[in-house]
Amino acid sequence: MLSFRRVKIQNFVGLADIEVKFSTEVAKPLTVIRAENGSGKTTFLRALAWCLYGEPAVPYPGATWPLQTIDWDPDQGEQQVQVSIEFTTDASGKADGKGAPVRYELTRSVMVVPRPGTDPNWARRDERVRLMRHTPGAGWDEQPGAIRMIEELIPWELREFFFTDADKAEDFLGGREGGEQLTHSQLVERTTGAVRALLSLDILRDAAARAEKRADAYRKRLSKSTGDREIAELQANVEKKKSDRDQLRGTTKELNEQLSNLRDSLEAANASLETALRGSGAYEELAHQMESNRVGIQKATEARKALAARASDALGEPLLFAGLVHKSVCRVHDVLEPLEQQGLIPLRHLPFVRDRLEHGACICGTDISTPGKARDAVERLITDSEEREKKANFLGDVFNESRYFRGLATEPATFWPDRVRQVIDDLGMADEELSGLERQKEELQKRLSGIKLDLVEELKRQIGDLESEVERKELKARKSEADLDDLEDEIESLSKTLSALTRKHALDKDALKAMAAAEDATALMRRTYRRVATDQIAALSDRMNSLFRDMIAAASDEVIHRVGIKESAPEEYEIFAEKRNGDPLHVATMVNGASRRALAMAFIVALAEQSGTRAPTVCDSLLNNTSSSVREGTFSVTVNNSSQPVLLMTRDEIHGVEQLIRERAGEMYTLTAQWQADPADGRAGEVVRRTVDRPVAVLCTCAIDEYCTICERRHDREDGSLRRRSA
Amino acid sequence: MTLPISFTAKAHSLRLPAHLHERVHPYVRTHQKGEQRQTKSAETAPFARQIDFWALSVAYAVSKGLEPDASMATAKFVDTRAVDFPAWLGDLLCILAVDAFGHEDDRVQNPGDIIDLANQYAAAGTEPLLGILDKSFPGLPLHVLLDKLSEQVVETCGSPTGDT
Repeated sequence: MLSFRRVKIQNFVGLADIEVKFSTEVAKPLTVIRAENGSGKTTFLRALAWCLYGEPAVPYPGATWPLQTIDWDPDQGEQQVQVSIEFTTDASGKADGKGAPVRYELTRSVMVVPRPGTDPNWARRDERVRLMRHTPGAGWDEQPGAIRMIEELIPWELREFFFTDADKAEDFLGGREGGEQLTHSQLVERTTGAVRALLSLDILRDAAARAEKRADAYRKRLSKSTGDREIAELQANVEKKKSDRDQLRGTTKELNEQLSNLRDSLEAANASLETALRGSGAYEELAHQMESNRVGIQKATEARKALAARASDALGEPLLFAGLVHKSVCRVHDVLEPLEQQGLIPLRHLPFVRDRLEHGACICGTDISTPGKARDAVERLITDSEEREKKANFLGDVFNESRYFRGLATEPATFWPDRVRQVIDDLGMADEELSGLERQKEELQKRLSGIKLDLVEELKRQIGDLESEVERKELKARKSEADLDDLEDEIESLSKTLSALTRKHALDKDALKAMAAAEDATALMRRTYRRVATDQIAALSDRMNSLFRDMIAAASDEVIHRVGIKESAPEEYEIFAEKRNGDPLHVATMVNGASRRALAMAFIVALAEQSGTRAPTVCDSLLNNTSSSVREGTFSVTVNNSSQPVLLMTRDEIHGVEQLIRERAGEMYTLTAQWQADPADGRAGEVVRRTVDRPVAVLCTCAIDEYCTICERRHDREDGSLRRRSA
Repeated sequence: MTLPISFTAKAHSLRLPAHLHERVHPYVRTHQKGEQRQTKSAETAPFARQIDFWALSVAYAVSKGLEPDASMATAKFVDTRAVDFPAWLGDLLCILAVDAFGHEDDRVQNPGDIIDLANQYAAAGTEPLLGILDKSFPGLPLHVLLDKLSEQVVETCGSPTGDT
């Protein structure tokens, strides 16, 4: 078991001089460092990783990432960067498998020297790694092999398991590396590497191979010494079969590699198709917009046409004619008006005369009821006036019409030019609307032509071909694996026969014993390998699922029903997630960030448990952006199942798990960035005061519910959950 | 109210100057036989029928103070029985006849004489109306014609709101 005791960091980026003592209490193994974003949490993680692994553990290889303090000035001369980790290993540890716990101190230092006139204007030299071992009563002694020892304790490939942050945990299962989306085979390779390393599968396989080789050598020697022809032939046959097996192993491996590459190509093609289909979705949207635009243009055109027809109809309106012939109408009106006033148009007296005649009484009082002179005179008057009456009545009507048209032409409410102006304005507006729609049409057509529908079809064809190819290759690979299994059985059977015959005829009893021992060792190693590769992987898978559900069950139940690890090809492993109906969920793309992070942590914790690996788990912002239930679950699982959890947490992450922290934390610190007290910083004034006049982060021993003169932030005083502590 | 005179009881020929007939066609959307010309729009061919052009020529000539032209050779394009001859147009033509002939003249009650007078006004008004239409480019004939007629109405009647 590896356990950190303390770390001392000097001149490492924003950490000028800090020392953290890690909790080693069994009941309270947790160390919490409270720090807000931008306060140096990631730098702290990097300092630990740099101390253990050196240059490869920091960003930008090639010594271009500055390790020196932020305020280092080349004019001040050289600066030494140094990180020391004191740790212990005990009998359960893999490096030192015997005796009581042993204390070590690993120190890595490097000199940063000015290099004026170059970019960057500094260089690193004299990097040193020193491992000191403490012997009770004798003190500290320098030990050789520091790098090898660390590699054995926490292999480089697994560094991200034990020194992780939220992004790395998420990315482990399908994030990006160097800006590229990790392929399925890269993920399988990564998972397989971790599983094989921690479960010692490679060691077991190599040991089995070595034992078999040794048994073969003894058998060969013994069978030769017997001089028996049957044994010689059998030996030759076994060798031939083993040669065939090696060749078939190569073929199977090659087939599986090809299969893996094909799956990557299929995955890439599917991703391209998805992208293209998103474009196609845009196509559908554009097509919909085009249709709306087409209908819009059609409607606007019809509306415009109707307006034009209205304008055209205006040319046939009486209002126009009344306006145009207004002067003529007025003249007629003026001529006829006096006649009308005089009662000449129409002839007003004639109906009266007819009325008198009908009643037999003239206007002067004369009786005209009976024929006579008077009545004859009246009847003659009426007859003589009838022709004039027709004309006068007609002119009376003309006068009335002229009066009507005269009023019509000048009536403000119906004035023709105003009505026409309105129609013309409406036409102008319709033109604008149509122009807008035409512009929109052009724009849509331009966008539409940018979508490559041909590409979608081509990709679908490629995917179809690739799927067929994957199916064919899978069949070949599975057949090859089955042939290999048959061959292994055949070899085993032949070897047994050969061993029996050899034992019967062998004269060299010592060699015979050695051969038997090597054969037993081979069988044992193979059985162990098979048990680890099947039983332990199954147990690892179950444990992962259980841990994952503890972390995230409530939140994921509807989407992720089961997670685990499975053998995707011989000696290759991958992490999977399934829906309730058993359908697979593509972990890299179909599982959300918080779930991926929890899945990665479940894998890490379960694998460490299964392999018996006991090492500190240092996590930066692991609970960032999680719901309270997931936060609580992830926290509990990580802390309860890691031998020495070290969590770097913001106040937001702490919120909701305060009680759990108090119960499990043996050490608590607060890291405060001085620049966050600077008004020029984006978090201006969040830290109430500067306590050091340098752009560094300062450590205090404030617990999660405390603040002091060093770490006090704005509003801490009003926060009832915090209490002031004397610095 | 409609005047007690019928222009459709008997067929009266409506006529346009013979030499201008072809120039009128492009501005009319309907064939003489009533067939619709689908290709013409109201904006390029403002008149639905030839009678609409003829009527406007009459009114335009009156508006411009042109004398009825009896000298021009004309050609019949339709007769009053063959078209939907609006009653209000007949009334206006009667008023124009009273103005032209004098109210005492018996021709004011004779549809044939009134139509003859109208044909002569149309003969006088066709050329200037075609002038407006022919010179409408780059504008559209309908728009230009509406503008000119608006101006003409305002010139004739004045603006009821005082605007010009």
